[in-house]
This record gives sequence, C-alpha cells and structure tokens, in this order.
Amino acid sequence: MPNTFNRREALKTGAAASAFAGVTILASRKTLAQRQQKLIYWHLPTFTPLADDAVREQFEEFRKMAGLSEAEAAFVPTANQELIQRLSAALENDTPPDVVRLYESYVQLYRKQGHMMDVSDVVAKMQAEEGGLYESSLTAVAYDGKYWGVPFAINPWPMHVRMDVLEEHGLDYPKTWDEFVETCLKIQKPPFYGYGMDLGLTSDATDNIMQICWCFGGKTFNADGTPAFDNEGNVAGFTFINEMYNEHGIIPRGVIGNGDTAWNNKAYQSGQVAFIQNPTSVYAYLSGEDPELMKKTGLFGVPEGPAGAVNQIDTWSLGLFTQSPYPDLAKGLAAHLMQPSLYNEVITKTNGRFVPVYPNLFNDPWWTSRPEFSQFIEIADSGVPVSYEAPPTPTAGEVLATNVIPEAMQLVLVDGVDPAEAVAEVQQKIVAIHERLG
Amino acid sequence: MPVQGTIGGSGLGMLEKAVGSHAHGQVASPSWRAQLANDQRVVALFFLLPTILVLLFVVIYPFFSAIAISFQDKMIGADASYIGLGNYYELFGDRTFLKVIRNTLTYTVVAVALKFLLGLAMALVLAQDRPLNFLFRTILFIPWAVPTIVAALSFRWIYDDFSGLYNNLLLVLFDMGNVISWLGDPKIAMGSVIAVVVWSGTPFYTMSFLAGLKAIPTELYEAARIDGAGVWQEFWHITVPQMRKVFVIVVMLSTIWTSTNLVIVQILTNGGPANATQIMPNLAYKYALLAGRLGIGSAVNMVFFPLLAILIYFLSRRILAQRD
Amino acid sequence: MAATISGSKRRLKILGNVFLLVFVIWTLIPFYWMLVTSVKEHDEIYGTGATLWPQRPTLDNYRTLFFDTDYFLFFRNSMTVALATTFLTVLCASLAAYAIVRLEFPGRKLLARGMIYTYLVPQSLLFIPLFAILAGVGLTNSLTGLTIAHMGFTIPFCTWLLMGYFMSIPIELEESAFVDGCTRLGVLFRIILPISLPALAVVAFFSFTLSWNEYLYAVVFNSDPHVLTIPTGLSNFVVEDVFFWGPIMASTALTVIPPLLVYFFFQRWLITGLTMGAVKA
Repeated sequence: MPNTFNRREALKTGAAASAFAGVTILASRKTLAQRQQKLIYWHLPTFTPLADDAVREQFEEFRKMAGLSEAEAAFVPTANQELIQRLSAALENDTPPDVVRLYESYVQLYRKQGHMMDVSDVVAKMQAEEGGLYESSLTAVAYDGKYWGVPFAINPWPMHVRMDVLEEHGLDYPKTWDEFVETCLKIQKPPFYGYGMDLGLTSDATDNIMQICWCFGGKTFNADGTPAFDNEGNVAGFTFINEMYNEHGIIPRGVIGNGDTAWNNKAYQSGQVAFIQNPTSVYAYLSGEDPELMKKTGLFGVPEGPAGAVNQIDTWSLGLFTQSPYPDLAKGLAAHLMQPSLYNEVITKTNGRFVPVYPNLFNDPWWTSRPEFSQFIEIADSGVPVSYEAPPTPTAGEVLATNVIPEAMQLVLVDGVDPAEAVAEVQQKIVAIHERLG
Repeated sequence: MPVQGTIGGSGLGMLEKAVGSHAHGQVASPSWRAQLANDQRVVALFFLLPTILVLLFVVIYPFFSAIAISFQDKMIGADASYIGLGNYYELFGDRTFLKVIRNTLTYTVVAVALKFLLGLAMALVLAQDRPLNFLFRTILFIPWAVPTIVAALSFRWIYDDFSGLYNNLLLVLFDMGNVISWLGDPKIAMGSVIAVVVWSGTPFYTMSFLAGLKAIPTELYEAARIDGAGVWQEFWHITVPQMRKVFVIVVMLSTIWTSTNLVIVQILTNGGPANATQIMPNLAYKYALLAGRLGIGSAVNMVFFPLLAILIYFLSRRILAQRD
Repeated sequence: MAATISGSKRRLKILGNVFLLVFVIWTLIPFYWMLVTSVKEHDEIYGTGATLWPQRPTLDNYRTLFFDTDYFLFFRNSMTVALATTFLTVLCASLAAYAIVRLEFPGRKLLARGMIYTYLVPQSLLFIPLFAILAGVGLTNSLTGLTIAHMGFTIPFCTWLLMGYFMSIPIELEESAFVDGCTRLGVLFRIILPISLPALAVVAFFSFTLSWNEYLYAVVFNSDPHVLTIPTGLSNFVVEDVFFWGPIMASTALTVIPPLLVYFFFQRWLITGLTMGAVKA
C-alpha cells in the first residue's frame, strides 16, 4: 500500500493536531479550574514543630470563627525550597494562595506586578497596639503611602560566637574588624578555623560580604533605590575580605565551593569554626538539638569598621494576593494571626528564630530571661536590610537571588581580579537589573 | 541476515484468510473488518493512540510553550511581550555565558564517555557466569535507586573539607593532613561533580547494555569460536555490531538527560567556585526561577537545542531507516 | 560443549572478578555512608571528624521518620503512582514501539523523533506550563495527574529502547504466526513480548524508579496532604538553612528499598535471551 501522505502533509497534519489540542486545552483552562476552597494559607515551617502546631491551631480557630467548613479552608504546609517552584507555577496559572509568608523584597516585587493586596487597614490595627511596630518592618512593605504586606517577623543577623573558646584564650569579643582578625589568628588551629564566612554562590554570602562592606562605609543602593555599588567603602570591604581569605587564612578554603546556605550552620554546629554571622536559625536549632553548644554560644553585633558597626536585619511579611476570591477572609486570617497574644505564642515557641514585630513583646519573659539576647533588641532597632541604604526593592531581590555580589567576590579571591574592578562590574550588573525592574 | 518481510506479503496473507473463511462457493469478498485490519495505518493508529494521547496532553503544549517563551520578555506572574532574539543577544553578550557553554560541553562529554565505558565494562562483567551474580547486579543497581537529590546531598557531605568521608579516609589511610577541597578548589571542582554524575547514572547504561548483551544469540559466538576467533575479535565483530542500536539509543538519551540535569551541580556547588561548575540547566534555573525571568531562562535552554536536535536527527536516522 | 576453559577465558574471568570488586566498592562507599549516618546519633553526625562506624547506633532517625511524618501515607502514594506509571508505560511503549518498527504509516519518523525532541526541554522549565495543563483539567492534587505527568517522561525513552530490541527480533518469527492466522496484536503479545523480557524488564525498572524518585512534579502539582509522595517528605527535613541529616539519610535508606526489591526479584527476566533456533524459513 503506497504512502498517500508525504512529509509536508504529515507536518501540516501534526501542526493542525497540536494547534487543535492546544486551543482546546487553553480554552478549558479557565473554565475547569475551579477552586473549592475559600481560604488557602500556605504555611512555611516556623522552625519548631511546636510553633507550627500553634499556627495550625490558630488557623483552625479562625476557620471556625469565620464559619468555614474544613473543606473550605486549607492549611497547606510548604517547605521553604518548595515555595519558589510552587508559587511560580501557581502565579503563572493565576491561582496563588490567599496568604503566604514572603521573604523581604518579594512583597515589593509582587506588588509591582500588581499581585499584592493593599493591607493598610490590617497594618493600621497592628500599629494601634501598645508599642506599635518596628519601623524597619514597616518600610519593608510600604510603598506610595500604603502597606502591601503584613509585617510578620524581623530577622537579625548576629555574630554567633564560641564563648568558651574565647574564654580559653582569655579574650573578649573583638570590638573592631582588625581585632577580629587578630582574635581569629590566636584562637584558630586548623582544622578549627576562626571565621566561617560564607563565600559560595549563596544568599548568605551576599549578606556576609555586605555586612563587612557596610562597616567600611560601603552600600549597595542609595536611599532612593538607585544603584550605588561603585564606592570606596565596598572596595575596601572586598580588599579586607580578600586579605582574610588569602593572606591571614582565617576562613576555611573550601567555602567558595559552597552551594547552599546551610553550610555555615553545619560548620558552626560541628564545632569547626568559632564565628559565623547568621540569622538565629542556628541558635534555634541548637536549643532543640544541642543545648550544650547553645550554652557556649554568644550573640553579638558586628565588630566596628572604619565607618562604624552596621548590623543587618531582614524581614518576613505575610503577603495577601489580589487573586484571592474572598479578600476579607484573607485579611481576617492575617489580622487574627497577628494579634499580639496569639502571635507571641508562636514567636516564643520558635526558640529565638524570629524577632517579634511588636517591640513591646520583647518584654515577654522568654526574652528577658535570656541574657544572650540583650544585644538583639539593639540590632532589631538599628539593623539595616541587605538593600542598604534603600528599603527592600525588586532590584535588591534579584541581586540577592542571582548571587551577583558573591560571583564578583569569587573572581577577586580565585582569579586575583582587582577589587575595584570587581566592584565596578557589580555596579554595571545592578544597573542593568535596575533598568529592567525599576 | 534475516529476510525482510514485505508489507504486501502479510497483507495478502490475511486477505487469503478472510477469503478462505467464506469458501463455500459463495462470491468471496474480504469483510470490511479484515480490510481494516489489513490497513497498516489503522492498526498503527490503534497501537499508537494511547501514547499519542498522553504525549499530546502532557508534552506537546508545554514543549512548544517553552520554546515560544524564549522569544519573549516574560517574568513570572507578569504579562509577556514578544522580543524576538532579544534574550539571545543578552546571553551572548555576557562573558560568563560562553564559559558556561564550555563547561556544559566538557561536563556532558566527559560524563557520558565515562558512563559509557564503565557501564559497558560492568555489563560485560555481569554477563559472565558466576555464582551470586544476582547479588552483584542488585548492588550495582543501587546508585540508580537512590534519588538524585539525595545522592547529591550525600556527596556534598562526603566531599566536605573537614567532616567529609574522603578527607577523613585520606587522613586515616595515608596520613594526609592537608585537606583537599574537593568542591572548593576550582581546578578539581568540575571533576568532583562529574564523579557524582557518573556514580549516579552508570547503572542506567549497565542495565541497558546487559539486556542488550543477553539478547545476542549465543549461536553467533559459538560459530565464531568454531572459526577460531579470539575474545577480542568476538567483542569487535559480534558484540559491538549487535549492540550498536542500543549503544546509539542509550548515548543519545543520556546525552540529553545529562546536559539538562541541574540537580547535582545545584546541590554540590551551585555553579561555583567562580563559575567553574556552572552549566546551562543551572543558569536557566537561575534566570527562570530565582530571577523570575522565564523568557531568558528558556532561551538559555534553547541555545543547545539546535545542536542536540541535529544530534537526534542524525542518530535516529540510522535507526529508523534500517529495518533489518 | 568445550570440556576445558581456555587460558584466555580464565584470565578474562579473573579480570572480570577484579573489575567487579572495584565496581562494587566504588558503588557502595557512598551508600554505606548514607546508611551509617542514618543510625548515628545527632552528636556524632555533627562531630568534628567523620566516624566510619556509628559509636552508639540508634533508630531515632527512623522513629522520627515514622512517627513525626506521614511516612506510611507517602509510601503508599509513591507506590501507587510508581506502579501505575510502570504498568501503563510498558503497555503504551510496547504498542508504540511495535508500530514504529513493524508498521508503515505516515508521520512514522516524525513521531519517533518527535518523542525524543521533547526531552530537550528539561523538567525544570516544563513544569510551569505542565502545571497549567493539569490545573486546567482539574488533575492537580491527584495521583492520577502525577502518573500522567510521569508517563510523559517515561514513554518516549521506553518506546525507543523497545524499538531497539524489537528491531533485532527476526521478522520470520512473526511471519510464521501470520500464516497461522495470528493478528498483529496477537503477535505482539504472544511472540514479541515474551522474547523481549530483558528489554521489558529494563523499561519497567526505569519507569518504576523514575516515578518513585521523582521530586519536582510531585512537589509542585500536589500540595494536598493526602496525595503527597515520599520526596515531599524529604523537604520536611530541610528547614530554611538547616538540614536534619539523620532523618534525611533514614529516608534515603528506606526509599531505596522498593526499587532494589523490584530489581532483585525480577532481574531473572534480564537473563532470558533470544533463541533463533525455533524459526524455520
């Protein structure tokens, strides 16, 4: 039987079939995609099962108060590394959750794309509470006189310190970065190193690098959000870091091959380094799994550089998506969870992982009974976000997420590129991103 | 060599059968059902329907959608705008992009070559008779049974400078106090990554080749032995030619999978140090999900597309054309 | 049959055994590490050095796995999806491979090649439009949807692999069956498949293992706790920047078992080979 089709016809048939299938599928997309739930809350783990359970209970409480059945209100646990993929797919499909905890600049990014709800009313109620809210948590979600996210937590980045090692050598916590280098040289004995700085292609690396640059007068953005990376402070910072790594050798060599933000946690938890600069996820972990090491751990602000000591904080906020079919339910849930009494219950159960956005809650015995957190309050007050001097912006978010700064730092460390050159290149890249994202 | 059956031959055979069943002196005409069953195209459709449905549904639209997006400026959650080759211009203007392309080529070629050699060697070894072969086969299958993510995580740790298995073994066995930075030394990082890729993916080659080896009729070997052929000649003149199709198919598929798998690099080094291990799928992920730029992320992936498509075309031509 | 093994044969055997030993060690070292870590206590895992043998073996990590997570549910779901994917893939791929190899129809080459082209877009980019499709027909948060998504990945490869094996089956075997009045379908199921058991085994192992270990689609398409699979459970043990290594390794040790068991028991199918003797021209 001869073939009656030739290749051209086969291709045409194939294209027609695909087109037909595509059109059918696309057409059915919107009509068939019905949400059954009236309220969907994606819950990111708050670090301890106790805190997670508390949030779940509070969610249930709200569900009952709002008269929703179990099928109508979904509490969806979402692991941190699942979030970006799930949320991306959901956003592309126009079906994001109603409420989800978002990291720093994501609120601003989604606001810019028109996805974030104006929650000024919810925030106003929170501000009316005794003691109000931390300014830094508000600037992170503010734009054009309104608030686009509900402040959830502040995340200071203290220096975690092995106090026992310092004591052993009769040393105090170093006041300046130069003293820091001296201290490290005195206490370290490879394979035990001084500073477990993250210098891999990770967000921790960006944070660690900037934390030093700031103390030398550096910054990434101007207060109005325009890129300002090309400055002497950053060059001095890069130079200093290069010296720490290549000259003094107080940082383990292998850090530049690091691929995730868990490395420095593990290094500290395994007793391989004396200092790391990290959010208190380490501390929270130790209080659950290694209380002995926790007792030996001190939490301090950064040492001073020529331009003083500048500490870092980052912020978490609850984002409410505009695609939500029942915005009042979403706002109701956010307001409910953020009531000081309920909120405090969760925060205190996270073992120091998060700092409350209500300064007043620092009076809670959980904090006051732990002297190691005395510096915390100061850091929470005066700390700056990684986008310093600007508040978190979409540009800052992309700079952080795509590891622009560590990439340049690695060129200095490994390929011997001049710090000034590297810094100039970073500025170029940030400018390009800024042009795209504004 | 087996004689190729003709299309007309089998069709005629069935026609005869249909005719024969009506042989009672009546006028014999083939039933429409027999005619339909004759038509190879109809039979083919019937055979292929489930596959085509699944592929149409799950693969066709996403596939073309991904290609189309590479010509658009599209951020996640935002509207798309068509920009033609804009993404590609941006990519090729970036100095590190060329480095990434080179890395990907090195990574893919070396990994596939190593997997091929090791896989073939393992298959040949497992094809030999020995007691407990079933146990060895199971053991060698293990890397494939371990999810890639977990394998990568484990090796991340095994490679760790201080608490990693390898450095501690070196310390214990050879008293090497100097730490080897498996993932932090730019010179050996790529090698360390490739080692994990090979560990994880070789069983696929082993098993496919083993099945292929077992399918070679033993008569061929016997005949060769009678003719006085040695082991090496048996290998080159019987084993390799018989295995050619399986070789081609396995290498073709593995090349594609190896060059598009981002998990291992992402977990081990995330592309560092200084982009020494950055390969294209990871770059694509960085753009598409971390920066939320689906357009350029898709474009990164498409850069190798023509190369791989040509590879597929020519490799598959040899297989599809012959019908021995 | 030869009464003695020739010298070169013996050398080959020894060489083979040496290689085997090396391969086995190379394969097992990382796996040994995973197993041993899963029974270590937390202190030892985070100790400064690496210990090759657990000092105080404990089943705590497994206990965490079983009692603090829904591991049994995940296991059941993973098993359902993997078995369904395997069965359907073997079926579809066998039919498709036979059609491409033995039948003439328009678009034959295009279809065959087209299936492979689909691998050029990796999962990490494909999942977003795929999610849109599944959501559009209401198949997110379902094991069915996940199975179909997995099949999209397994079918092309399995079809091609079976094509490779089917092509080496001499056509005389079928022709004698036709003469005896067999239909195409009959030939496939009664003659081709039984002979292709080694190939079917590879296809089944591949589909099962791929589906069993698949992470991305499982995590993105399903968020309802009732339909989660094992890889999702893994995410429970990575909280922000902390990896809980003990349970992660325990999860690995357990997750590896089903594919290994499937392989262990069915590998004898890999052993059967082709025999040409039965066919008379």
